Amino acid sequence: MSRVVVLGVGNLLLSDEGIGVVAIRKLAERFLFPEGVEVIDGGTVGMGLIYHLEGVEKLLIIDAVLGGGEPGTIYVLKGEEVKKAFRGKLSMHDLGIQEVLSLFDLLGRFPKEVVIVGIEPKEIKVGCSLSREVEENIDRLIEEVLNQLRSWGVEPLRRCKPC
Amino acid sequence: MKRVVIDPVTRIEGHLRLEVIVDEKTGKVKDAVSVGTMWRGIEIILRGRDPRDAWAFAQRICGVCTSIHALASVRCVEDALSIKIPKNANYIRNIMYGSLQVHDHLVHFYHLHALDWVSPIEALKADPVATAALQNKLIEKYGSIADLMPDPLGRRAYPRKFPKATPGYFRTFQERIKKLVESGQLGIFAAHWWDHPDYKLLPPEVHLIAVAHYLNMLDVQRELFIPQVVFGGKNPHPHYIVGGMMCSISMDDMNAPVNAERLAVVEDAIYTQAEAVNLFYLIDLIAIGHMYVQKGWIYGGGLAKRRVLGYGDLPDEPYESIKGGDFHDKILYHCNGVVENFSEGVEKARYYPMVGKDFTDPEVIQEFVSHSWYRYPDETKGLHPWEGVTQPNYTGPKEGTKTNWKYVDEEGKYSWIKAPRWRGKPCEVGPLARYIVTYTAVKQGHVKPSWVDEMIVRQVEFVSEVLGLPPHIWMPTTVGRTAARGLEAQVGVAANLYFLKKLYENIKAGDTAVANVERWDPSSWPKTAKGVGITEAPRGALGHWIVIEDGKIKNYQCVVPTTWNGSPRDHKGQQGAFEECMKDTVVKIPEKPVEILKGIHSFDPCLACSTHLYDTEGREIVSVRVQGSVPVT
Repeated sequence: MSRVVVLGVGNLLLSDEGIGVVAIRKLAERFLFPEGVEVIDGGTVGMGLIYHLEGVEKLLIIDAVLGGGEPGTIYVLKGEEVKKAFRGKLSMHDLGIQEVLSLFDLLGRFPKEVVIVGIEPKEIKVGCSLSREVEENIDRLIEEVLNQLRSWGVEPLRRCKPC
Repeated sequence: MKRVVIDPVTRIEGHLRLEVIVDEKTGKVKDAVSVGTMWRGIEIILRGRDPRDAWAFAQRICGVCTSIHALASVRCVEDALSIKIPKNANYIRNIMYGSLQVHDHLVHFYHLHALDWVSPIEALKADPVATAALQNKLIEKYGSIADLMPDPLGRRAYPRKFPKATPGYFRTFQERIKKLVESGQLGIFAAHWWDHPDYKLLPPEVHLIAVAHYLNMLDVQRELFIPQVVFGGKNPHPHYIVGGMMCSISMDDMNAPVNAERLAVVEDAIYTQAEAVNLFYLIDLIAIGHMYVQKGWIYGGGLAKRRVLGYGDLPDEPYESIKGGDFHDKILYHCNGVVENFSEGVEKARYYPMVGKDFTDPEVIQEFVSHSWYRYPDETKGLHPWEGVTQPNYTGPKEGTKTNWKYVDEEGKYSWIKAPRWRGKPCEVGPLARYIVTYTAVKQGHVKPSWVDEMIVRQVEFVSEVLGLPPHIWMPTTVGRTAARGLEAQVGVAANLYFLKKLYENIKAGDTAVANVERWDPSSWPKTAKGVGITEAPRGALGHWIVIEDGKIKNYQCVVPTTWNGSPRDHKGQQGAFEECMKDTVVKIPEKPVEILKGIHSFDPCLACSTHLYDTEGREIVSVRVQGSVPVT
């Protein structure tokens, strides 16, 4: 099977900006993923990300996205929208994911598919907790991630509740 | 006079804005302003938390030098609680540190800084056959620099990654760039001043070598990081623990985080580091640097000429404490000190050591805010980090609105970066600062040189011979700053080999301890405790200061390298290293200030940790402001 990476990026210290990492933790808590699928906490990524993205065919990025909608709005960006999103710097990671992807592009090794599943943040301020609007929509965000994975033929298994 | 605004500066982490006043007739920079445009609040987040968790929060500040804040953080907590870590933990931390240095420096050179010096467009004009011949000549000419690196494990005989000096190799990369240029979609190479005359200083073949290695090193650089992944369990944001490391050692257990097999992987990665640094990075660096120096590029030193600062690092063995002085008795890298007026010659330079007590003395290291968007009770006075206050006070720009600046007000507050000072004076930090301090300390006889210090002196002498210039002329310059970083990467590799050998020997002797948990339980702590955690981050001296009360963090302050270098003016009008560097630079074309970018990039600025959040509106973070006549994005 082709290599699939689910990558959550964001800064846990900046409230809603950390949603990508929070979502990754919840995914890992709730689901088991088949072989060939990696769920990665990218945190405040840098160039070191290349290490994880080498040879990836399908990449799903979870991040806060400033799309102009109401806080908590879920976005799914595909194809050209992804490149456009990075060009417009919708994500605040200046050096990291978009640099790394454009370098892969240069090497002719851009992943076959890149999808961003994002959520409109309410606030990006110093603090470790999410806003109510984002918190309440995490399950919807995760549902979108699972939908995307299923369309790639990845069927995560729900873990049983902690005994 | 022309006021040129560069905002944001690209190819850095975080957001930086520069305003430069250039005399169009002479190209001289009359004044320069460096503005940190995001605000950092780690101190506020950590207050009231368990000190044992601080490292995990602190390293989330940024993923670029991901583990270094964790290291400074565990060191400050251990210092406060008088915890001595086991030998293995010390060796492992040093290998992780060295690997970060090697990775960070190499990536900076090729992927963030190289395009200030070389151009993919010029590379298209190169003849692949001549390029291959030149590559061979460069290896022959400068290759002996590899011999400056001690190899205690002695397995460097047959490199697997060697620069390919064949026309086919260079043709392949040239084709790839050509395709990119012809497509009109320059991608990562887009929007740069490729027509600037500085790019004509080098022959096209040098451009092709450097751009080919830029692409080649993309594949190699990920391998350099492997020691961090093995010992830290993950990347980015590897695991540490107060008292040592989390990676238990069991040589025969296939599932242990550290076993014979994993150590072999680490060793392999360190030899890959050696090849990438010795055979690619250093040779390209010396070749390009030499040509630029020959064309008169010996400016941009700025503050480095007058005052540099280092804290020291690489403890050879576990130490009792930092504030008590034992750390500085044990370190191998003696860059702990301040050196003034190095540009007058190493004999005339003034050297002041920095040891344990200097980190606790309220008069030695202080932060000022008179030109920073913070509030202090008395802004003519600085505060020691233990007494530090982080209270934002945003006043907006001189011209424009609070969220859409035209020009900032350098007479008033204008940056989210505080102004750290040593005895009230600004200092430059970073690899160049470390090299100036170490070289001066050894040459003036202030320290008993370790093998690291001796290696540094030999490296400096090697480069001085190539350039035909004494160290006090070539070191405090933009080229010298970039050169020191590359030389230091070689020290990083050597230290990794040295500490890996120590780790092997210690494990062989039967010691597998990685953590000291005697004082893990808060009931074993004093009611109040203060600690200092210092390290030499890739970008310069880094310190974390902690105050613990009743088992919780009462105060936590980080004074980070880019705060020193990117600091705004203080109440006396003294400028930081970025501003001084720009003022020591000549700009040929004010609208295309490549020289300014070379200078600022030579510091490897990382604004993510010096500042961290845009003023009031999160949305501003994503806007790219184009001002003056400077094309950005």
